[in-house]
Amino acid sequence: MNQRPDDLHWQAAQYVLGELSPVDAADFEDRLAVDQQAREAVASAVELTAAVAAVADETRPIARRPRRAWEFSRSLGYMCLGAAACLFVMIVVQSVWQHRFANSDAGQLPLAANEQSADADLALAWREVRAEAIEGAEPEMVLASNDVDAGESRSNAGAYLSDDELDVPSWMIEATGPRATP
Amino acid sequence: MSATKTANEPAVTQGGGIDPANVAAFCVEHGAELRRFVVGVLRDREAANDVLQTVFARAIEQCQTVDTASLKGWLFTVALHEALAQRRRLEVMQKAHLKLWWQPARHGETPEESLTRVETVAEVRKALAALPTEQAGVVRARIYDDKTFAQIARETGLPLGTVLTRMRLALEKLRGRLSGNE
Repeated sequence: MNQRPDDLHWQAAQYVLGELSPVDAADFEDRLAVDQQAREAVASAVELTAAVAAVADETRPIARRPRRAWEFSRSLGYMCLGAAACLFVMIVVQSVWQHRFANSDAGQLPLAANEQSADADLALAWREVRAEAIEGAEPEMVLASNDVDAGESRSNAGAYLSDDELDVPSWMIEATGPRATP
Repeated sequence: MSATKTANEPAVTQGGGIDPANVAAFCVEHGAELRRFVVGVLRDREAANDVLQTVFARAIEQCQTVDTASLKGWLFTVALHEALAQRRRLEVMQKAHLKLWWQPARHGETPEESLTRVETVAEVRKALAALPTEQAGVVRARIYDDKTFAQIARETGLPLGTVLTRMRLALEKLRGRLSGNE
C-alpha cells in the first residue's frame, strides 16, 4: 500500500481516539495483523496522545475522574447491598425482640386496653380469680420479712401456691379457708 | 544448545530459536512500545496489563520456535490477537470501554505503567505552546475535554473536515517536534 507516512500516523491517531468508523476500524485492524509499521504508528499515536493529556493534567485543577458506567453500577450495587443488610438486621432484631416479649410470663404483661375478644375477657376474669386465691392463701406462705411490700408479698405468696390450688374457685377457697373454721 | 549473541539482539540458539534466558530482556526492551500498542487497540490500561502478561508468558514458552529477526513482529502479532480476544471478552461482559484511557492514572503509575516518557511530555508541552490557536483549541477539545470531532464541529460551527484538518496538522507538528529531538 502506497501511503504517505503522515497518512498512516493520522489514521493510527484516529484509530486510538476511536474516531474511525466501524468499517474503517476493522480494515485498519486487518492491516495491523500484517503491517509492523502500522503497529508502531499506533504505539506512537498512543504515546503522543498520552503526553498531550499529561500536559493538560499538569495545568488544570484536580477534577474528579469521570465515572465509568460499570463503576457507577458497582457503587449502586454496594448501596443496595448495604440497604438490604440493614433491613435484614432490623428484621432480625425485631424478631428477637418479639420472641423475647412473647415468651415472657403472661401474668406480668399488662393486658392491651383495646383487646375485645372473648379470650381477653376470660383472661381478665382469671386474673381476678387468681388474685382472690392469693389473698386467701395461708399466712405461713407469706414472706416473713416486714420490709417486703404488701403487693410483693401477695405476689410472692402466690408463687408458693400450686397451679392446682390456683385453679380452685374463690368461693371454695373461702369455704375451706381459716375464716371458715368454726 | 550453544548460544551466540550479537550487540543488540537476544542470544540465538543453534537451532534458530531464541534463548529463553534472554527473552525477558528483549521483552523489557520492547515492552513500553508493546504496551502502547495494546492500549491503542484496547483503549483500556487495566485490560492491557492482562494482555501483556499473557504475551510475555507465551514469548517465553514459544520463543524457541521463533526466528530472531521476526521476534518483534511475532510479539506484536501475538499482542494484537490477545488484545482483540480480550476486547471481545470485555464486550461480552458489557464492560464500558473508556474513552479516557490517555488520562494519567490517579494512583500514581509506575514508570513501567506510564504510556509516555518524561522527556516526551516536556517536548509536547513546548510544542503545544507553539501551535496556532485554532489548532491548539481543537487538540484541547478532543483530548482534554474528550469531545468527538463531530461535537467540536457542532459547537464551533466549523465544518467537520476543517476540524479534522486542524487536528491532523497539530499532531503532525507535535510528532515532528518529537522526531526532531529523538
